[in-house]
Amino acid sequence: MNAAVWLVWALAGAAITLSARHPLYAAVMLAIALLSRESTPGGKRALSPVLLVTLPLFGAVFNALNAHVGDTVLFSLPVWLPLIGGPITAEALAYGAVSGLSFAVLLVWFGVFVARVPARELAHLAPRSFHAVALVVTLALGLAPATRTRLREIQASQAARGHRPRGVRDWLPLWVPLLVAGLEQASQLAEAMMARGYASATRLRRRDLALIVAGLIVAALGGGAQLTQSGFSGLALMSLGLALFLGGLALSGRAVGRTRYRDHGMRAMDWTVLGLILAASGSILFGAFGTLAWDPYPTLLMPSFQLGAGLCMLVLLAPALADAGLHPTSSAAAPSPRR
Amino acid sequence: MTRQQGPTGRHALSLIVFALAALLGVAALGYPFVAASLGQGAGRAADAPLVVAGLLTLCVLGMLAEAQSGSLNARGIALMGVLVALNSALRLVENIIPGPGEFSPVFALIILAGYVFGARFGFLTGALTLLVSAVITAGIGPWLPYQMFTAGWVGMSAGWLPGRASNWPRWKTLALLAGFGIMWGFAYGAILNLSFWYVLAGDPGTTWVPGLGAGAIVARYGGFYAVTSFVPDLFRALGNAALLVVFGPPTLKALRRARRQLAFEREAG
Repeated sequence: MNAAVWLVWALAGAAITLSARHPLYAAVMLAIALLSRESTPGGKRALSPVLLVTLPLFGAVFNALNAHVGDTVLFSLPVWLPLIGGPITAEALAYGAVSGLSFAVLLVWFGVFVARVPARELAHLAPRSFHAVALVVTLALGLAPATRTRLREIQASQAARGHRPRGVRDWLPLWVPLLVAGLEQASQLAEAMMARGYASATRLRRRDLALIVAGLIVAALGGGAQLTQSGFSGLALMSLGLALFLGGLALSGRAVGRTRYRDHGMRAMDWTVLGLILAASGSILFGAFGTLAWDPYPTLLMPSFQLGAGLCMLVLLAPALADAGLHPTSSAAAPSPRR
Repeated sequence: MTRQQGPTGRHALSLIVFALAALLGVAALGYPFVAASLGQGAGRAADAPLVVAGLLTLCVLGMLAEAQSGSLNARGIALMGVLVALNSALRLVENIIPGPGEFSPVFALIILAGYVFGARFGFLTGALTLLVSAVITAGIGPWLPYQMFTAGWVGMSAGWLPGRASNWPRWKTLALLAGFGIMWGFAYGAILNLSFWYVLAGDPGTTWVPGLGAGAIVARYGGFYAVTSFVPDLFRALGNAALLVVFGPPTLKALRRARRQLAFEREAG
């Protein structure tokens, strides 16, 4: 799969998990993440089950001590206690546990994303308007391992001179050569870049800037409307602001000419999976199944489960399935260079 | 890039982008305090975390676009690439050998870079350090925009500190930087707590006592912070100060030399 598809997958998953703070949907999302992780050939990171237990626990305790709302009072803490005094309710406990679970699901979800997409491809995702920033990121990603190697070399040569680091101050003979060598490298790099014709910084034009400013303002107004009265006008304003903002960025990106070495563009399969993800997550997020958020207040009830929404979530398995089905050996043949 | 270039060479509009994005980010971060005081009903939007995270991401993108514009020529890119790589390597070391509490070695260099090369450079160094090290240490997640925003602010505000012209006595510069490091050590934790506050605490309208004034909410958050985060953040604050005092003088010297050497002069046009 193209890295862009995985990025949209991760963002869609995060958005659904955050907006449907719901035990059953969270479980579905967790299962999807685990299944997507299961078929990861290379970067199989151990998922810490501890997290899946401690986060809901922490959330439950945290919320029960903070929120003294709900009908089912379990017991009461004396009111004179600062912050935590008041009735402890089952509703608050349940809500906190589900919140903690959602947070844990988010962690797992992005863990899958990071394991699936090599760092180099992430830098390629940057739009053209962030050319300079993307260049810095690519440089830094490339230089970071070299920096570690250099640190080891400096360590070895200082040790050969009898240097034994004990306190903080003893790290100076390691840090200063590391920094100075890095700055020396920067000046060589700059000369090499200028020799290849990369000299001046591109500047945002007034029109693009104006679009970005307008987009920010409109999106902020929309966000304000959405947060205070929760209506369609807020969403529409936010979308308009986003469109203006992205339009300004896209226009500013046109000033940058850029070519790519080995560009793995979007293939038909990528577009199909992307469309599936967008359709499924869009229908969930924009309320095709009503609001999914589970509200335990004021009285704790069993959460309801909509089969349609659950099935839509299962669509998020698509990228993992497509990867497993289409290129069963491709990732094994080309291990990711991430360290 | 440096103060020589300054805001005079820019459109007033780019200052507006920066100021607006910064303000908007602060408003988004401060939303729980306001929302709770609006009372029940008002803050009941279940998608508040999404809206706030989305707005904050827009702010970070806007500030990145503005800060890179006109300031990152070949020299700036090379220098920043190296500094970000150095700092990310430090964060990786920290990941392997965790320090006490929330201690992290990355802020000292962000502060020093902002102090020497100016606010925009500092912002980019802070935001990109967090971005690159998140990629390296597999720490990408919804909290990343918050981290980038806050770390960017660390570097940017360092660019506004007085005494950059290096004619200050050494002790004065060091005292200023150390105090600044202590301040941000606590502020960074307090701001980042807000990023998961939404997810854990959910809708402020239901989880907090409705109708509390903003002041009372701030007091509650202060109490929460004092109980859960003060001690770990103390290590970050003191660690910042110690690193800035011990490593500050030679690092400042090297960075200032690089500034002269790479000749960050004002560009024509």
